[in-house]
Amino acid sequence: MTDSDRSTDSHLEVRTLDKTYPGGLTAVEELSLSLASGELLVLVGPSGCGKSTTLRCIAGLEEPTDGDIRIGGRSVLGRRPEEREIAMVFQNYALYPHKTARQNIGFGLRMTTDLSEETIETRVEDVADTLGITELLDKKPGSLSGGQQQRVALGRAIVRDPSVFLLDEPLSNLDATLRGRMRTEIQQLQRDLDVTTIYVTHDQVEAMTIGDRIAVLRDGQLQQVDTPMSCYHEPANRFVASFIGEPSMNLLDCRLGPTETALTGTVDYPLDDRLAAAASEARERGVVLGFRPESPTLSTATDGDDAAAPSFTGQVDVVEPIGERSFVYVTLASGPQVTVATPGRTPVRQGASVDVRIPPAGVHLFDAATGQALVHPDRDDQPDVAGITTEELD
Amino acid sequence: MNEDAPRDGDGEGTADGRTDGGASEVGMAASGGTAPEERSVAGRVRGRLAQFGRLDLSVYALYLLAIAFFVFPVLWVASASLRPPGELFSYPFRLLPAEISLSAYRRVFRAGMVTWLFNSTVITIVGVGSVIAVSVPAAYAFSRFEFTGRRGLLGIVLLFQMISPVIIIVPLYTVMSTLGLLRTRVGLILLYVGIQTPFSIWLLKGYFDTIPQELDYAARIDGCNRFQTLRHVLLRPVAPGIAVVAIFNTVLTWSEFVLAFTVLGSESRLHTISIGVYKFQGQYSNDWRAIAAASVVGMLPLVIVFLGLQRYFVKGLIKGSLKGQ
Repeated sequence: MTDSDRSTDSHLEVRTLDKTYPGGLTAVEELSLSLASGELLVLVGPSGCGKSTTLRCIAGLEEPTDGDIRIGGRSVLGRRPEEREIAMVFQNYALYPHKTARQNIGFGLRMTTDLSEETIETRVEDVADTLGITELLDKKPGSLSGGQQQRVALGRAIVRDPSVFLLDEPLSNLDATLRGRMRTEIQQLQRDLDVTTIYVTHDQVEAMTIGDRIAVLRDGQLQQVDTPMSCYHEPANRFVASFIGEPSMNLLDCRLGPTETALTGTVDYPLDDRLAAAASEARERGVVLGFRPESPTLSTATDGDDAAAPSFTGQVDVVEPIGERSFVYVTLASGPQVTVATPGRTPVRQGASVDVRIPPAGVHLFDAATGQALVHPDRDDQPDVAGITTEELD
Repeated sequence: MNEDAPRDGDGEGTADGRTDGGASEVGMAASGGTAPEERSVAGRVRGRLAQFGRLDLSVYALYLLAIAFFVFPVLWVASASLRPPGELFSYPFRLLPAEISLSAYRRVFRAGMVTWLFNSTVITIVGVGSVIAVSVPAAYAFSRFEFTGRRGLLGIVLLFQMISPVIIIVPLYTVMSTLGLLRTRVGLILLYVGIQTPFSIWLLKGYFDTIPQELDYAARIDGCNRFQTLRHVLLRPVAPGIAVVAIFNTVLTWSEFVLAFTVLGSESRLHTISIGVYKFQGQYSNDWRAIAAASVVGMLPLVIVFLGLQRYFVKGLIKGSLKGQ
């Protein structure tokens, strides 16, 4: 598939979807998404942001209040779930407890097709073979481990050869080790089957690693749809900036100083011409200074490159060593706490007095009132690894 | 791929092990010692176990007392039914009669016991079956469908449960008479269904509520309509609840007297077992031996039903308690 195919021929399209519940709760507002055939889009956001509701509307389990859902160019509104050629995997797997794995996988085919018993049996066994669960086929869900149940649930979804695959937090019931493994497996499976997929998660790390593109949702409103790396490097607004990336981006509320060449407020930060021009757009409303923990350096690090960068004195509250890197939480003299990632061997002690250098090349600015991004660091300055991955792997 | 299960297990095992280790370390650190402390911890555990042993004994003694309290009347009735005439109130009291006589049983069967058993069986099976047939779909709808007036309707259902049939027995009699349902099994069964359905709906709704909604979703994606979802997917998980409803209503129906007596009246070929027992109470004297014999015979089918269903009943309870693992 070429890139032009992707942009013109969208296989799954959600148009200005609204979902308001009878109680008056608005779960999803004006949501539009478009997926190319075979694409994997991750829908990510904090719990209650409307991502599962969106998925259920696409599946036909809930009727949207307004808007349209099109699969393969045709509106599927009013169609029953099984007529939409979709398959769904649930967070708790939702396997039928009294049926064996074999019956669980074959149930949909039995209910919706006229296939003969033998054909169904063959297809179930083929799927089981793909997923490596052949010897589990005659067990009931109760006697399967979490990972095995997950595979049976995947089997139940793919046996029907769906044109759209919906995954609702499929990994959140698994322990950490298994989660990593299943994530890779699902990715592999999705590529092999080349099926258009929406993957819902609240875990931004999962979203970053699995998606061709990610759609960030908050309070039922779409914040940004882009490749994981673009969401990371060029967050559309303050929410995406704080949600994507672990630990979160440092965000400091400031305002533009009288000379318009520096920010004042929680920190006084001098602006170069590029930043100053961007900041002037929000001069009345205030500016939020943002930088990733990876961007600043601590004065204890003997790094001459950033000697010119603005520096702020502070005291180390906590050091979190995670091996190769450590996260250092520093309270600046002017009040705010910032997170700085340092190389793991950097000797920093709790309570130590340090200088935090924040290079302008790593600074994002946001409008304090609207939250919209004003300027991002130049991407040419930063290695863009995932940009290559998403392009090359197709 | 396939070595998932053992790895899962291992993972959990080590995780648990670590937690335990951590906990005991903390414990030791808190008490400030090492080896001697450890011994005394072991000692404490033994003491606790011994305590449990003592507690167990007294608890079992209490159980025994409670059981005796409820079983004694049953044994007394069984004993009374087997005594020869005139030995009912013999002194000193003996639970095991000196001489066993089946004359009371003969009398009871000659008086029409087979008819009563048959009537009770028919009414119970049809009645309880109807209650289940009505309350399962109703409970499913109350648990799963959002519709206007859902809460209000549930409240009304509960309200019906609060009205004792004895209070409305006079108007009920008139209604039954107008509908021509007096002295018919259908009339009695309809009343039972009406009385037992509200509680059954509430009980079953509780069971349906414990089944995750995702199971319905999965069924719908697999192509089930609402009825098929109920039939193929939800009925089995909710079976323990249905067993509870069946047992509960069987006992109620089998032993019900006031409504049966009122509706069936003098139509003796329709009389149920509870009316049968009543027949041995005369105006001037009660035939206690016959009453006891009829009671024993009437009790047996219930005991059999309960023993048959209790397996599912207990299984359902255990399964419910392990949910969410």
